[in-house]
Amino acid sequence: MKGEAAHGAAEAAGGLALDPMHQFQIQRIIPFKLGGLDLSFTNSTLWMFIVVGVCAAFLLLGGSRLVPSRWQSVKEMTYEFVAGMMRDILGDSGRAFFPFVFTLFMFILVANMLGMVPYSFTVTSHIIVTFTLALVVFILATAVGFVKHGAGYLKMFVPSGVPAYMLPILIPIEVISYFTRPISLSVRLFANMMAGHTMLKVFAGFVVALGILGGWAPLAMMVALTGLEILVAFLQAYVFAVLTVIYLNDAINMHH
Amino acid sequence: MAAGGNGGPSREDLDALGEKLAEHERRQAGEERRRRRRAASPYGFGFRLVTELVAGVAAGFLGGWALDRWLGTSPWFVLLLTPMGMAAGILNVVRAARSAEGERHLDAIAAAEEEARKGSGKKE
Repeated sequence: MKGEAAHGAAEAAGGLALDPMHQFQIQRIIPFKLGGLDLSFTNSTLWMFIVVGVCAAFLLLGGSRLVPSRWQSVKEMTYEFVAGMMRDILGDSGRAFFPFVFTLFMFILVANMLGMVPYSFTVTSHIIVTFTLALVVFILATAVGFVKHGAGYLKMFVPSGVPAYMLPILIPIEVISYFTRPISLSVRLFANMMAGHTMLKVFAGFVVALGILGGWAPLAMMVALTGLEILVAFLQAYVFAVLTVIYLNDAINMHH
Repeated sequence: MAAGGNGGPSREDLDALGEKLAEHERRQAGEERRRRRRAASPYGFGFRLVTELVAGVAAGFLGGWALDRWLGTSPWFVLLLTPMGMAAGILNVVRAARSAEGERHLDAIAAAEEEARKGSGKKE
């Protein structure tokens, strides 16, 4: 991450005031208030638009010919990848949810990957963003469950093959376990992205602090970490999509 | 390739080619998925188990805290629901490990260990 290192250098010049958390700061670009709500257009908003723009450009450009170009092959591979994953878990009953899962996967993947570009802003490194995404998944899965099974969906919370006197303890545990879903889903993505980016910044600070003699070791470490981070960026988008499909599967087929 | 009337490929040729391509694509997609599962996702799966555990405690605590604030019973619901949240977290971890995905990871680990044992056996 050349840009991040340079960024660190600029800050270190002013008396080693290197702040690895600076990259996560929200800055208002166009301040805007509606009633008591702060609806300013921030750098986070800007990067969300960029993410959507890159997604759209990636999927809409590049042609759609019978004999695909390289670009089109990559597009088809992403499609096949998500479609195959959904077929594995959900079977054919969940085809209707493909657009939703694919959109979610692409948005998170592109947001994570763009976060790897120096000087960019990682949208998914804020828990409020990932939690909102997770909440959308959670509400959708719950709604699908109730639409499909009516009140019978509440049987989700009654474990089978358990003596009746255990139920007063086990049902609240099942309910809590159900409500952990949006939390674990959002914390996983946010923690991975934030921890990775903070670590990169900290190592970049070491490079600057140790100078030309000792800086090589943390620099080598950063090269390795950057590779790892790209893997994590992909993996977390994939895990988010997989769990979305698993939750939808629970709602549709109701086997826990 | 049997040439059509005007020098271009015939309909049958194209269909046959299409079928071959589809077959190849299916095989490749399957292999790709299997390979990726084995190679890249243990890290993701491990992290999933950890967050599942933490999220259980967090959900229990937050639920209890919200109920306490609403009913003014502080600290009783927190004391009751936090341990239940821990139990829910452990339940989620066990469930995730027993799921098809978890089984696959356990199989992969067993296979890797088997291979490592064979490899070290040969050297000695």
